[in-house]
Amino acid sequence: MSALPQDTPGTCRALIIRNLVKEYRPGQPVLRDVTLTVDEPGTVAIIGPSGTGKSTLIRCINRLVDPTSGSILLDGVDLARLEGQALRQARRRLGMVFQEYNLVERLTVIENVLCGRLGYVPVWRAWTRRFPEADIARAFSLLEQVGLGEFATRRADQLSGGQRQRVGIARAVMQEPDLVLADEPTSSLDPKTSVEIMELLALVGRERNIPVLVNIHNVALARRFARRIIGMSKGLIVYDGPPAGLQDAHLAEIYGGEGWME
Amino acid sequence: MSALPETGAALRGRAFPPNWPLRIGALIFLLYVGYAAQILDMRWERFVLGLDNGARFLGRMFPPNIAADKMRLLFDGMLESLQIAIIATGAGVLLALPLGLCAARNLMPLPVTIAARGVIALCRTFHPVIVAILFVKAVGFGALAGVMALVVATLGFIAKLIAEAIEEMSMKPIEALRAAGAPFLSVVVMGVVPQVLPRFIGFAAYQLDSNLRNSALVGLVGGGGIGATLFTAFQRFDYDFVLSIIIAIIVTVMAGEVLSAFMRRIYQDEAPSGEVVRRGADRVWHRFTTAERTVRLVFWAIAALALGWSVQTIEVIPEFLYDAPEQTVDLFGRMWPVDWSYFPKTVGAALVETLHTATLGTILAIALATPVALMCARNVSPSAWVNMVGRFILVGTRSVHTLVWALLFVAVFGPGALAGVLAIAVHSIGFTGKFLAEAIEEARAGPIEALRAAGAPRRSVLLKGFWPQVKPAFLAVSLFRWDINVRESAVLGLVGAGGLGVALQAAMDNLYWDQVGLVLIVIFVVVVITEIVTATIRSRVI
Repeated sequence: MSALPQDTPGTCRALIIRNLVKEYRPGQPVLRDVTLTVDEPGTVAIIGPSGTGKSTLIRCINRLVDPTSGSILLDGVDLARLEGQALRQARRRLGMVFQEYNLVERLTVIENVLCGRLGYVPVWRAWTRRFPEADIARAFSLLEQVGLGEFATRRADQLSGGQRQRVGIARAVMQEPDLVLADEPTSSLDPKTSVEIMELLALVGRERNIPVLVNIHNVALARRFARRIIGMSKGLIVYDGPPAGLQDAHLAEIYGGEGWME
Repeated sequence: MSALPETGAALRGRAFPPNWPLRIGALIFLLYVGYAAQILDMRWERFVLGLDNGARFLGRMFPPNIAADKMRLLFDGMLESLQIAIIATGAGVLLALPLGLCAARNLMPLPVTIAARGVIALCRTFHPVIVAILFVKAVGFGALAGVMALVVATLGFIAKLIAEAIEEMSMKPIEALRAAGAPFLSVVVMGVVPQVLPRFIGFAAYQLDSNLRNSALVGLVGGGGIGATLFTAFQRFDYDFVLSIIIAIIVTVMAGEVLSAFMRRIYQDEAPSGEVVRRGADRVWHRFTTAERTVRLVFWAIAALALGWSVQTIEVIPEFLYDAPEQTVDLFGRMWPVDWSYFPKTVGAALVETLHTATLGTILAIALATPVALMCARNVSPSAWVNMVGRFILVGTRSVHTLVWALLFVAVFGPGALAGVLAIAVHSIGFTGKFLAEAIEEARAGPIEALRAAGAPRRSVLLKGFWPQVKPAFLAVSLFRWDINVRESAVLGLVGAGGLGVALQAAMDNLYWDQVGLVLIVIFVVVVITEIVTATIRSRVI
């Protein structure tokens, strides 16, 4: 895979999460006290069993979920305190890739990619589809880059899962993000496609020189692509280090039991 | 294991235990039908006498009158009705968009949705005819009152459906657009609109032909259009002209249905795919291909021209408009306080009559619609001819509004609830039959095949193969229609077909506005209670 097109490299800003707590129901915290610093570009994989708060953590960062307490500093700005316009402007620099792609099914592929610019363009441009020419040119190059150049005017619901996820990634990159969040991006895909999607996410991180935070179930994929692995269990971080340092004992602590590792 | 060998009867009892609630329910049902029929004075002699009358009546209708001066009247009336329908649909749909959006609980804060839902409920409570009466008092006789009444009806219907469509859409793309920092309106334009547009186009198209039907109606109470012509023809006993008008209405409504089907085809089936054009080294993306753009352009041009023409030519008397707010305040001032003593005198009995009319009419409608539905369902219908006749019955009964049917039946059977029950029943055939036929067509083919393969005769296949599958839809449709029919039967009295409408008409004729106020309050309460009852039954049973 070649370099991403005419990309102004993002600025790797420090993401500092301090004492993050999230309770959906009072007294039942999903995130119990998460403190975490991400200040280097590259892929960071978050692993852990279902229901342990991986998604909640990622969603707190771009505030799809409102944290109960704690702070999320990105380049010194506390995302947890932002509201309205300020929050929208902060979100523009946070690309997000979803497990189920979250494309607008009845829009074409190129329209979906251009949705990444919605935080930048006024609503009348969105309505009439008069996006700036530079944006459209960039959307085309991105599609070419993710291997969907010929699919620009196909409707999103005509694509396969892997193709849809590529559109999802192109949409996130279209935002010119300083940080990419990916919530289980490979869970709905077959093994081969999963590898391709992880490669693409790693490439985005390298080319834009930004961190890519990936929630992932598949430990092997995490080891293969991540520069750093964060293991979560019961709302707490129980491992934080390079893939090489991740031992069976850690996995047993993260997922509980050992029988599944055989 | 029982020690004694069981006898045949006991075995049968064990396989098919008697369903006592069902038996008792059926008995109560039959007793009710008999009782209600007696209350409404629906005697067999009256019916036979009416048939006799009806034959004479039909004789006077044929052949339809096509004299030049009548055709002129017919054409002018139809044209005005068309204009009323076009303006009401255009304005109503435009207003319904923001209202429906405000009522969607998954996008809007709670207080906003409560306010929007209140407005929608208010628009839906009163029958368009009653709304038309009020607007006629406020802005004077003529098309403007009709337009305003139908705008209100359109607003209530479309806004409710839009809100439901938005609440049912997938929130995943919305989440993604929000995560990208899109402002609210951009989320609506790129995330909400593409998801609800196909259904919205369907509603708007449906509303256009619904408004065509209703525009024939508002004229009955002074709201302009063909309804006024029809009412005059009835009062002058020009029954041959009545037939011409009814034929014209049916033809127009059918043309409207063809048009709306066309509209749905353009906008619903395929979203535009657009195209990418290479211009030198650059690629240019167009949202629509040339063909798509042309069709859309033509469609919008026609819509804009139709709307512009209607607004230009429709007759509005500005003097009436200036003092409309004053008139409205005055009107409500005269209604309040309402005259409660009118209730025991007249309204109470009229209310009972209305409820019985709606219920009996719905029961009769189901009885009449079931065979028609069997004719129309493609997987049951014995031949293409039968199917076509069935479909014609559906469209024909539906095109003519309940009130117009009531006019006809009052002429045949004389004033009273009998005409009302028949009007409700006949008009409901179209609606009930259509939904039943669709339910039958959706029945799974597997069990049906199994019964046929076992050599079951047709009737057994219907009873044991289709009926169990269709039953829930059957109950839902019946309930829904009953809900509608309660509203309809409340206004039947305006043309002499019994119920609350008679009390309303009498009060209006005497200019006793405090009594009019009482009748309106009673209708409001009945409609709200009906809604609650049907919602409860629906959630419990279906």
